Amino acid sequence: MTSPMPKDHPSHARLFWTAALVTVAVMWVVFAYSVAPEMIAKAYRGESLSIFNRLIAGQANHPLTEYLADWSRLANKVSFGLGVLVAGVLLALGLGSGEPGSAALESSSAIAISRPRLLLVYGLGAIIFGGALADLVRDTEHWPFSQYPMFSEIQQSKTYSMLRLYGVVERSPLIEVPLDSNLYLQPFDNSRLPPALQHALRENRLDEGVTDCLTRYETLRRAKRHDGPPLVAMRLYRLTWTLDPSASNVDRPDRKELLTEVPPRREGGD
Amino acid sequence: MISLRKHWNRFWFEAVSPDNLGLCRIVLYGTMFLYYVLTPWLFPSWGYHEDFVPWGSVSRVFWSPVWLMSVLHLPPASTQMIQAMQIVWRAALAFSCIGLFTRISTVASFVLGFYLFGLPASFGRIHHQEHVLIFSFLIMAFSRCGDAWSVDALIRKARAGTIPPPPVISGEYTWPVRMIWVVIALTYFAAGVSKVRHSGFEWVASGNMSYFLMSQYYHVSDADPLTSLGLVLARGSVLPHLLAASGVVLELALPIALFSRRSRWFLVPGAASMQFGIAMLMGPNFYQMIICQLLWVPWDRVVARITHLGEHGYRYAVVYDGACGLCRQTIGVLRSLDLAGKVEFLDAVNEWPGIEKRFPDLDRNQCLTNMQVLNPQGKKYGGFYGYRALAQVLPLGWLVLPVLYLPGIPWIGSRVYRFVASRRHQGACPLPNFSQIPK
Repeated sequence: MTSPMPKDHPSHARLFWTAALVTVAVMWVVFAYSVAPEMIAKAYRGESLSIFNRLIAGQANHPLTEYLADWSRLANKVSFGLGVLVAGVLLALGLGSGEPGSAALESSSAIAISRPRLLLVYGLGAIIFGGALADLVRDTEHWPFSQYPMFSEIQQSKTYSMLRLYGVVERSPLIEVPLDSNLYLQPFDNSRLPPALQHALRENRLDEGVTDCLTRYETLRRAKRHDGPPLVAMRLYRLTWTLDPSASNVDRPDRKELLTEVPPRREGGD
Repeated sequence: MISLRKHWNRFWFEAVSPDNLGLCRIVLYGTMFLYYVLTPWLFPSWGYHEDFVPWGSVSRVFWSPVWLMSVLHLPPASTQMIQAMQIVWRAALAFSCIGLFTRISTVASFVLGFYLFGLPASFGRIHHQEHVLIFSFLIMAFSRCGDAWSVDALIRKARAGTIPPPPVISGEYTWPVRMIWVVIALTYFAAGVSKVRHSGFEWVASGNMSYFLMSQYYHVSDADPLTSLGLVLARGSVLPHLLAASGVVLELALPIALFSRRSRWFLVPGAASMQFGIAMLMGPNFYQMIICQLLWVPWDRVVARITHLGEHGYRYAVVYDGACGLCRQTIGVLRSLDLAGKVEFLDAVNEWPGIEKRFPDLDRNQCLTNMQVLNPQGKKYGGFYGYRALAQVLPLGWLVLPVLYLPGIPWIGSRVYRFVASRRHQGACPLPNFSQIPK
């Protein structure tokens, strides 16, 4: 005969809290994205309960879409916070589900570490995980902490735009080559150089920055670190491509907007 | 709540031996030392990223310090200064790997690594390859990772002599590896959350992945894709969505690997494969993060499995002078290096009757003058040649074994051995008085 599972069995507690959290999450989603927008619309039109109708008084200056957009932003933030909370709690509740050896748990539950060291460990953990979670929740980046936003934005455009340096090999006739190899301007690369140039542009020191790139290119070329041609000048363009599935137009951007050239072209040149 | 607390304490502070932490130290610092020394040389097309010296010559026009560099008012250093820091940093990585001056070298690895990693990030764009490394170095610097599998530990054992110290188990050896696990899991999780937060389900359902795959072939990344397969995949109607979905799911699910051993078997290789796939299809490489995944491996069990295999089969015998302090220290070190359990250590002073019965050809006086090594066939080696014979069965000895066979080395080695052995007559380690040795 098997003995019944005790009422305070850990798996019961886990099941209860999991079910409760999932229920709350589902209720929130239904409320935030279905019920609340409807309530706002009714209150905006004065068709809801008077207590709700009184909350919205700016119909003359603000369209309904503005209220709905505000609510949507708020709901998204709350959803995200709740999502993180639910995920954390579920993970915590699931602590014991995968690790075998629960019989050994009792004997190993005591902390085998001195108190000062324990405080040190918790302090270290608080710094590392506090910083990481703060950036994660606030969607900010404080190096070396980060929310790791790379590739997270939706990019559905058919075009791609970026800053690119071109080397002027001859002025007359004009011969210029795109400096698209990462070796030309190392330690910069094609990912890091455009934002660095943007920074120089914001600081109104773009020519100084491009001059540094020209010097770097020539220094590396003379040191045989790349096999690019000798340059007489360097140009910075903003390029725009229509993305091609085979990338066959990589050397033929749709638009080339010249931002600067160093050394500056003299009047009557090329 | 009590159960939760127990799980919490067990996860972070379960009392274990220092072996796994020591081995993780070797893996982390050893691989990173090799990575940062070799890649600029082996893969010049992208390996220049791992040489920080050129940043010293970049114009200050581009300097835009990242948060902590800005808060600490750390300026861009000169080329010479960065070169000096890089040399010291690489040496610190090597010292941390072998566990020599472990505390100092791990702290230096973190402090200098923090600055060197922060330099490129302060010139335009933050890449995220080194974040896990920075925190791993920080955690290791605070840990007791030098208590085992380190030169420091060998020195301590040598001082203790042949008497093996009682096995130490402590929660000190659990939390550092677990904390690195959590850092890794949180990093991936955060990347997944960012995608869901900024783009929601559209990140998977839209043509987003096709766009990323195509745009990377316009030379926009820190490295060009290793293959042109990305363009082929981008043209597919289902594959880009599958790639996007599996990427987000993997990122969001990696924290499960913290608690479930079974899930580690596919989540961790999955995360590593995903990042290798990014390098193949899109260009950006995260090799440091891939290497960090090695810290999920229970290295103590791997080594135990290997050494267990070695316990069977042939064994070497080392007969030494147990009354000599220097010999005892040496045997203490050799015992630690005998990872495969291939060597039997016999004390010629206290265990002679048994030794004589097993090896009737051995001369006791010879054993007390020179350490004697017997191979499984019973062939006898003394002094330097004994060490050379041992180098064949001690894994660390394999590193020096070819050198020991170079012309001239046996001549030098024998003289060094005789010089050291003759010094035993002086100071604290005189040869024992044979008349007082138990028969």
